[in-house]
Parts: sequence; C-alpha cells; structure tokens
Amino acid sequence: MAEFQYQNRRDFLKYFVGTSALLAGFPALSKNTLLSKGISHLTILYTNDVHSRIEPFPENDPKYANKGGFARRAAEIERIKQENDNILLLDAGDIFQGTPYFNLFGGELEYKLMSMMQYDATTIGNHDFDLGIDNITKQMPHANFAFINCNYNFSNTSLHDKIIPYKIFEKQGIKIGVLGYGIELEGLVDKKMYKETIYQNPLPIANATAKLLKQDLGCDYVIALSHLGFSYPTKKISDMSMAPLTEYIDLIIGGHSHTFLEHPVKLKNRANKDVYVTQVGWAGIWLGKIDVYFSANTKKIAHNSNNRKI
Amino acid sequence: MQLTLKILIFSAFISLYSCTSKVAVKKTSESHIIINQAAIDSAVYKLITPYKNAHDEQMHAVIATADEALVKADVESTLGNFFCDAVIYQTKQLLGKDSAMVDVAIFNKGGLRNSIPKGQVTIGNIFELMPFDNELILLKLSGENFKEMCYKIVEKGGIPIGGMRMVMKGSTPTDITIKGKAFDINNDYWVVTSDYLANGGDSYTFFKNPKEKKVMNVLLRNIIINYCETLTKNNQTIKPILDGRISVSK
Repeated sequence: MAEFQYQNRRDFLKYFVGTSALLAGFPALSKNTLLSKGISHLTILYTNDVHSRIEPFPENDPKYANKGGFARRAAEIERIKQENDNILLLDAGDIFQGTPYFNLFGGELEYKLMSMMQYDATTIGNHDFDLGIDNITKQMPHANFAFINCNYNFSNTSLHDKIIPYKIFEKQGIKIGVLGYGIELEGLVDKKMYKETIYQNPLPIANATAKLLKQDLGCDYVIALSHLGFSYPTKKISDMSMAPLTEYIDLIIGGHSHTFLEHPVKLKNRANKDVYVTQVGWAGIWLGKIDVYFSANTKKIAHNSNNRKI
Repeated sequence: MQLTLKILIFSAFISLYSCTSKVAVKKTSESHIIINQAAIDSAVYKLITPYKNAHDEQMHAVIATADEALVKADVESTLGNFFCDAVIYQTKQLLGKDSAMVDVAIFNKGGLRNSIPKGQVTIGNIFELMPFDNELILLKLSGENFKEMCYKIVEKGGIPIGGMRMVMKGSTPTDITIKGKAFDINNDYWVVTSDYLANGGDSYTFFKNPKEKKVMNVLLRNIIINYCETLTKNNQTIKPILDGRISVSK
C-alpha cells in the first residue's frame, strides 16, 4: 500500500494529524494514545477460498506441506486481538469444498469454527453451492456471522430471507459498511445446485449500495466482499476491471481466483480516489491483515498491510 | 486459550509463495511473520477433534502407492493424464463387452482440485483430488462438435485428455488422432466426461446436444478409488506419465 511511505513517521504524522512532534513512535503507540489524538485504529483480518481446509496441509503435500489450519489461524487472530481488539474479521466466500470434511459433514464444521473465531461476515462463493443451495440454508443455524450479497436475487430460493445486501459495523465510533457480490453462476455451477438464484451485474448494484452506505447511512469506510476473481484476460468482470468503475468503495476483499497478493493493489476509482483490491490466495494459508487509521480531525484515512502466513 | 507460541521473524522475507497476479505489488520492508510450529487455539482444536476422528477413520485408508507426486501443469500434466487414463480404463471395465466404444476422455483443469502425493495414497487424497460429487457421463459427439471441443482445448491452453493426441498451433488444433487414427469430421466419437461439463459447465457448449448420452450412475471419485485399488491388487504403483499427447507447436 502506498501508505507504506509512512515508514518515516514524521512525514506520516504531518500528513495525517497535522503535527509531527507528539506522535513519534506511531504506529507502535497504544490504542489510548491514538484515541487521545483523535485516531481510531481498525484491524481488518480476512480470508478467502478457505475451501474446507480444516487442518493444515499434510506433510507430504507437494505444494503447501504443514501450512494453514483453523486452529493455528484462530491462535494468530487471538494474538492480534491482544495488540488491537478493534477488529473486523471477514471472508470473501468459497468456505466450502476441497477436503473430505465437506463431503462428510456438509460444511457444518466450517461454519461452527468461523463462529467460534468470531467472524463478522462472509459472502457467497460459487463452491458454497456445491451440495446445493438448500445445503447452505441447512447449515446456516451453525453460523453466527452475516451472509452478505447484493447481486444475487434469492427471492425464489430457500435463502430468500437469509442473505443481506450490506451490514454496518460500528467500531470505536467509526462506521464501516460491508457489502458483498458474487460471480456469474451459469456455466460455472450446475443449475440444479443454485436453482432459482438470479445473477445480476454486480457493478450498478454495488455502486448503488456503496453510495447508500456512504452518503445516506454515514459510513466512514466501505468494504466490498467480492467473489468475482482478481482479473481475467477476457472482458469478464473482475475486481481489477470493476474497481476503477466504482466510486464509494474503499477496499475490495476478493476471492475465487486464488490470487496471492503480498499487498493490496491501489487503483483510482472513477472519482479519482483510492480504491484497494486485495486477496490472500486460498486454503487459509495466509491471513490477510490491513490496519486502517481514521483521523477524526483531518478526516483522513491511512492504511498499512501485513499479511500473516499461517 | 493459547498453547506455546514460537514465531520466527525473517526480515524482508517475501518470496515464499509465488504471486499469481501479473500486477506488480509494492513490497514492504516491514517483517513478515512466519509462524513455525505455530500456536494452536485449544478451543478450536477441541471442536475439530470429534470430526477429525470420524474423518480420519474413513479417509486414512491407504489404497495405492505413487512413485512420484502427480501435479497439474499448463499444457500436459501427470495429474491430468493419470485421471483421464484411469477413467478410460474403469469405464471400459464398466461397459464390459461394449468397452470398445470408448474413444476419448476429457475433463477440466479446475475439476482436479489437488495433487496426488508421492508415496502412500489415501482415500482422502482422492477426495481432495475430486471432491465434487460429479458423475461419469458418456456422450456421442458429431465430428463437428468434436472439432469444437478440440478448439476449446487449445483456447484453454491444454486440458486433461486421454485416448487422443493433438498439437496446438497458435489458436488451431492440428495433428489430431483418436486411438491412433486421424480425426475424421464425418465420424462420431464417444467421449467420457463429467456430468458437470456435459451440462455446459465451464462453457463446454459442444456437449449440449450430443447424438447419444449414456448416464453411468457412478461417481467419478469412486472410479478413481476403484482404479487405485485395482493397481494395488495387481502389485502396480501409480506412475507419472507424460507422453506428449498434447503439445505446443514451435
């Protein structure tokens, strides 16, 4: 992220709070010191395409031996919470499918574990339909986090009253709007699995939802949980093709393409403001971490990213 | 809640994983924290344990031995070849006296979800290779549809095939042979694939209107498990095979 130029803290503080003297030592300062200077610190943690990877990869795995696993990710999240408990824990879909845990238990364990880890929200990925849309509905009682999507019309399905288009989280006085959208299902998922779910172009709906969140509902920051994929050689809509056409989204947490990004990619949106696109591969072998600092006085926002490799 | 936490900090440790995106992303000088022998959350572990026990009981059965790891690759892959050859062999077994009708097997790269490790191969490995409950389908394609299929193979930069050979020249498939005979557009061909692709998945539109269709009512995953068990019964191992069945013309 460009804000990494704030390795020089004096420069950062000049930009951020208009003074450089008092806050030397940022960002290692305590939460209370930051708060006393009118700075709120939100830590966004995220995963995508965890694909039922309950345990770490086995030691004979050719690519990812001993990486990942829910128990280790949970411990890392607990550790981060000790530094800053002002946390949003998000997921960009494809929770299901990929290990026999899903074949045997239908996704029940995945939802239970994410609930225990206090995930705040997810969106729906194409593989979440793999045992049929009614299986998502069936497993939902095991989940105590939000399912967010604004571009699938679920009216004629068992999910009709269980998916919300957005959710607002209030963290230390900061209002964060989270919306979500998913990929075209036709040609990707068997229709007998997604049934009467109707895919709609995410761009106009996401823009309208983000505008609502920022302009009408007073959100300071808007996050999109996207399961479109990072980018394509074709004209197929992706996070990279869509981000420049958005206006009110600050951060797009993506999935589907299993793209490992060391740091979010910064783009300009159609109003020439910054929008970040990020994604942390798959299987939960990375935990995405972005720290966002909000200045009450200058209305400025600063980012820092530091992914964890589990 | 936490057990021991050992963390190793490597400054500027950045390239452990390859970045699949072509977009240059800014690197940080800030240290990445690699968690080695990481702490595990005991409450989470406790929740997993009964599921893990049931899982292990079913999934840890060893059904074959692999001489080398089988992995996916761009044009031709050891994993794709193994999968297609296994499906053709088992389909012929299922068809019995009609086994000669099988010409070609074709799947999609995205359908093969994990590598097969070197050494002992478990039922769990095959579940991870083929987690989807996809069924085996036989389709009788016209020569015209078969040609479209070959163009799709090229468009995708090579996909798992068996029973046929071809060369990708620019955007054109050339030197197509099926069971050793040159492709003839006036012939029909029987193709083995998954119900997912047969229903138009991955935009395999040429599968939409086959001349005939045979539903085998068997899961592809079980086909592979049976093949592994057959190899073991015959004192054979899984061998990585690259025979140039699909190649790029220079």
